Amino acid sequence: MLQDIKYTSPETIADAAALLGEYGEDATVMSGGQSLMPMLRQRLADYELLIDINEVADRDYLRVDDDELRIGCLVRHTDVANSDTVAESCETLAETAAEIGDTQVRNRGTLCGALAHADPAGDPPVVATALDAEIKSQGPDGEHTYDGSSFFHGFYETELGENEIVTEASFPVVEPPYGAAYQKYEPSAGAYPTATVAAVVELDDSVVTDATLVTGAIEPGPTPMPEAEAHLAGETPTEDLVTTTAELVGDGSDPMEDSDGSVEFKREITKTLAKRALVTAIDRAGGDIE
Amino acid sequence: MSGSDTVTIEVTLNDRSLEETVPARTLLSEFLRDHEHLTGTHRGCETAKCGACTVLLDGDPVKSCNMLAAQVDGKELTTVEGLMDGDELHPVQEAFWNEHGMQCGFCTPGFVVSSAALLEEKEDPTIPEIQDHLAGNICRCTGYTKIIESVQEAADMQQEER
Repeated sequence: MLQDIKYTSPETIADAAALLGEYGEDATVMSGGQSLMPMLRQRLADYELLIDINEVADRDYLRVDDDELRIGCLVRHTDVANSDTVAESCETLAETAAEIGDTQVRNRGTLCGALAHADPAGDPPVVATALDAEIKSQGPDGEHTYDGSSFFHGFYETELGENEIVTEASFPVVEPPYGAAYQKYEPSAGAYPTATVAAVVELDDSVVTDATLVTGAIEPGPTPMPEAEAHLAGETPTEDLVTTTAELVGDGSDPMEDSDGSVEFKREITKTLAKRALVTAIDRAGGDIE
Repeated sequence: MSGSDTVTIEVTLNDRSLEETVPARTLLSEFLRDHEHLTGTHRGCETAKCGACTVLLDGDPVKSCNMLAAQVDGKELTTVEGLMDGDELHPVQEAFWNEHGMQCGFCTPGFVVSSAALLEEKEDPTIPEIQDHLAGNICRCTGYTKIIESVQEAADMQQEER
């Protein structure tokens, strides 16, 4: 049984933000609720008021405008996974969404909710960091925009100001000469991943001009790997270069040891994931590994 | 506008329209079992892992322990009790019966509901598609082989009917 709680389902984001402003820490916003409900059930969180934003109109859009894939805050993981628009403009995001939790969780959970929640083992924050998604929010004082690459601070912390609601996430359209990929290892189907890696590369005449490598789940939040990125940039991809870059991703990481694995195990699995992600990203960017 | 301690919901439950006022904290699984006495929806893990409480919300499988009853206002809900057509079992129910797609039976309603939704989407799912779709349902007796055979049998039955 759930603790006593008040419930409301405002019809506009402005109303929801105003309520958040009024109640402060005593209220929270619910979209898919797939992380929030278990937290309430297990008494890890306690609120006086639940503000359910599912009744807000026109927030389930998913479209490409000006080379940006824009996703409204009520778009479910299932919608992202099954959308032709996403498959064509940002394949990596569609693949990521298809592998979150399980069918029932994907039918309720939202992409923007996962970004706002910022679970250290969540998948969308890692991809949003690597692709530098733009995250829009609305608070009692108006709208704000954040860069995905610097939005996450680890352990459920983000740049999001007090009483702000994430209203939209937009991702760049990824096509050659850019390529992206996301790889994860999960101990069982539907479980949170033990380790993840997102890779984004830009090629110019088969030379890597820019590379972004971000790990997830092993540290408190999405973690860029600058040493590995610098190792790859300016080079022509070879089997050896991809392997040494992936090793730098693993060796450069600082994993937390827990029941999912030791520091050594997480570093090793991260190397494997980094290699797989890099190979796919380079291929998608139109490159060859010599 | 501010929150309230009780909510009035209008919902179409297994093709029956109803309106009820419940405490705001009422979980959907609690509403179905304790208020509507539809005890086919089982409560297992209560933390959104096992899938025994799966119901269809506007046709999509969701875990009813992980939602509030308040959130189904204006929606259409189907529980395992609503899958039958009069006295006739749903093809998935019949196939689970024929193939014995269960051991202790506790997880069965969730598997049946999830499988029925899969066959609405895909007429002839492959084994990996069935496994992927049912990953949110756990059978602690580990009777997965017979469950997957049951879904395949149900797909065959549905195709023959068409």
